[in-house]
Amino acid sequence: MGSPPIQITQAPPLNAGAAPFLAKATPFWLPMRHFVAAAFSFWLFAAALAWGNERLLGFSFDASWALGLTHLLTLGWVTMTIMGALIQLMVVVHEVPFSAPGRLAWAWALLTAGTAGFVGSLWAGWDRYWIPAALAFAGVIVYLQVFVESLLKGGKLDWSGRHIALALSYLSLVILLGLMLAYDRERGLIFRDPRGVLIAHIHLALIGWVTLMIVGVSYRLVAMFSLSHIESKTPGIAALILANIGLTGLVLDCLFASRRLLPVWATILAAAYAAYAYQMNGIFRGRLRRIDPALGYTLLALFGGAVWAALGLGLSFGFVPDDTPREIAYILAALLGWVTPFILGQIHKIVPFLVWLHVFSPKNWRPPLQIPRTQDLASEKAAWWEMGFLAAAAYALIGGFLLESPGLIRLGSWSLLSCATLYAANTALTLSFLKRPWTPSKSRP
Amino acid sequence: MDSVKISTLIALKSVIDPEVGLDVVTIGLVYAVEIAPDSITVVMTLTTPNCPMGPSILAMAKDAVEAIADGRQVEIRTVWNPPWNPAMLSQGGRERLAR
Repeated sequence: MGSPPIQITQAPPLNAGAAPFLAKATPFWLPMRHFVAAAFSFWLFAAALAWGNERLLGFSFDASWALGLTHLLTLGWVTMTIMGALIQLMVVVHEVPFSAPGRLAWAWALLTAGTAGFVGSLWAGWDRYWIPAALAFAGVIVYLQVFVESLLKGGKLDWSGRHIALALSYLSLVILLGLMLAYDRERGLIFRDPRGVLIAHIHLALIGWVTLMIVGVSYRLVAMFSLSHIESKTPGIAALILANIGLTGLVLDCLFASRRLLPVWATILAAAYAAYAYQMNGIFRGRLRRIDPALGYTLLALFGGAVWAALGLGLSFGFVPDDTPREIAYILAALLGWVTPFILGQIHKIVPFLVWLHVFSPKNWRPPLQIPRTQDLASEKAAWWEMGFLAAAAYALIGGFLLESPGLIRLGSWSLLSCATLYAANTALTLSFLKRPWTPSKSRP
Repeated sequence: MDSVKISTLIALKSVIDPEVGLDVVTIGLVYAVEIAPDSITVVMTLTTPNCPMGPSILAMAKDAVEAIADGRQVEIRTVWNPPWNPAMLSQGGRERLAR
């Protein structure tokens, strides 16, 4: 029974009865529709990449199909997943009930329709792509409004919540710059140095929006899933301060100072990442659980983040040639080496949890009836294979662009499609428990 | 009284934290079991105050103890102090988690 309690303090009362959490939980399909749409976007991105892998070398950043591909991944996969996870996270971790879940359903519809229309019109060569882009923009504004309202209602922000609030602030800047870039692409009236603005937009998205979100969430979820705890927050505080200094400096330099100090900002950002990795090392060292697919994905993401930071240093100091293939390798290191493994790791916990909560928890549980563990609702073997394919995909693609090797790019794009297909199948397996009963396996302890 | 206490703990050992995969006694979530002639009170905590599975686990614990309570009133009292920490996990639990 553990150590005898020294001083027992009564906790606030919880509701009685089976699955009282469901009373304040968001409806099952509110976060889940995000994960389903995101899984589809991820698969479509991987399929498009595999289909067009022979055209990948030698394209311009400004090519419409490349812009479509990029936004399918960043809006359809990354942002869509984060929005779904935030809906879940803010309710259960920060105990902030949403006052108007209906608005979030509207936000999802706008983001989905906007992303589909935006990517579709870029691929079809329709020059009014700004119309669906405005829809996606409206969707993100609704999310922001609901999240900010909810965070304010929740009172004082904790360590993780502060990262989330900062990430949401950066998201608004990403959108603003993105819209101005789209307008400037057509009219050419706003920016004297559109490339500098593009670099600012990309880094606000990858570091300010996505990375700060991941970092904040990782302190909470990775510690919880690994049964570890954070002893000292000092490295994490240093990481947060350095990341904000580096990002602000980089953005201002790109917008107003002709990118003169990029090596300085890249060094500060790499130092921020090193401090974060040190904080995560402490969490992993203190863990009590074996490495399961979710934690394995997190380790893969941490490695990918280091590769991304190293490539950033190489590009800014000139050790790596600053040309399109190497810049694509840098962006892929961020999106497929760092962001995607982290997202997949957390989703492998969140989706089975949602199904468990909404299907098995309300049942009138009585011993000795067995109910599934969350890990019983997905295939761990498939998840490990997925991870293997993702690792192969990320590093074959990064290597392929660095070395300008069509063979490696082909290998990477087909590996990514295998990963996305397995992930979709594993998600479908988990969702199948909505309709079919669970039976305990004989090997279960 | 001791036999009721033992029955209560055995009942609680059938309450599995669905995420961790171990029972609440092995995890070290049960701090005390108080037996009175007409009531059973379980003093327990959760791995984190915001554990998303928390309310369900507490409901399961109540159901499990009620099944052996023989008419006694069952109360599951949740406490946050002392906070749970991984050192409270039993040695057997640690070995199973590490596998």
